[in-house]
Amino acid sequence: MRDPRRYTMPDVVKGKRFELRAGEQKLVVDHMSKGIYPPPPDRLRARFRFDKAYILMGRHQLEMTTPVAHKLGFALATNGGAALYLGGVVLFEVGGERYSLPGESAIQLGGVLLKKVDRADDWQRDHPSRRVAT
Amino acid sequence: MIGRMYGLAIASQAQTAAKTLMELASAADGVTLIERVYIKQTSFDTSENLGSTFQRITTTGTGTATAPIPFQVGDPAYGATPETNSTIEPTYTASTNIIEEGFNVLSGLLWTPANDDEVIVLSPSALFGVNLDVAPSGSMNFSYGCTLREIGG
Repeated sequence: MRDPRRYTMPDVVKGKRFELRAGEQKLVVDHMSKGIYPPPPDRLRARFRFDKAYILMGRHQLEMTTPVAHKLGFALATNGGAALYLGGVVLFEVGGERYSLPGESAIQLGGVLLKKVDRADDWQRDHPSRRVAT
Repeated sequence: MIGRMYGLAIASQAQTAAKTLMELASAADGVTLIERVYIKQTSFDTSENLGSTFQRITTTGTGTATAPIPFQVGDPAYGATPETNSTIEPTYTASTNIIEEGFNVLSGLLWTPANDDEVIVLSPSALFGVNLDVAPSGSMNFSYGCTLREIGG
């Protein structure tokens, strides 16, 4: 019998929908408990340049200020954990493009994006007069 | 810098068997990045090769609750309770063996991500194990630990 004082992963990991809207554009991260996983046509990668963080999607890139990238990275890692331990996939939708990510990919993409936010944040502190992000 | 940095360190602890040395946990409302892991040996002066595995955990085991120490005085306590020196092994998640590294006990093991893409990420409430996967030939004292960055929490 399981000791109730000790938790196991599926009891506590929950996904939480993240949605950001600007006009008609929207950015969504969500945990889909059921869904198929079509491998994305482009590898998703997180990068930073100067004071901004980016997600590279093949020929496209999503440029973000650090506060937005921080929220997105956190949402990807959180929903990735839910998908990894509870099953399903992570929906990542940006500008009408929809990506399905397996849990581990979403965790790693989210964590790496947070790391890039850290780098961009350091750049902003090193260059206060050139700070662009608001 | 974003997040808060914590160090978890165990000094000169006698080990005689293959076991989980650290069961790292992430806070229920935080994401944790593992930025450094090290295992050193401090009592045995002959070369001997051992190994260590870094792997995700599905179900927690039993060990000594160990609080990571904040690098910045005044930072709040780490949001979860890692365990060290397991007495009951956790259940490792299949096919999640991220790092498998051998080392000579005279020089020890130091792991840091080669680049940002290699950082180990723990989602909220996730567990992660660092073990000694080869039994030492006799009792040896090991010092080990890790550096954690908690974001959120």
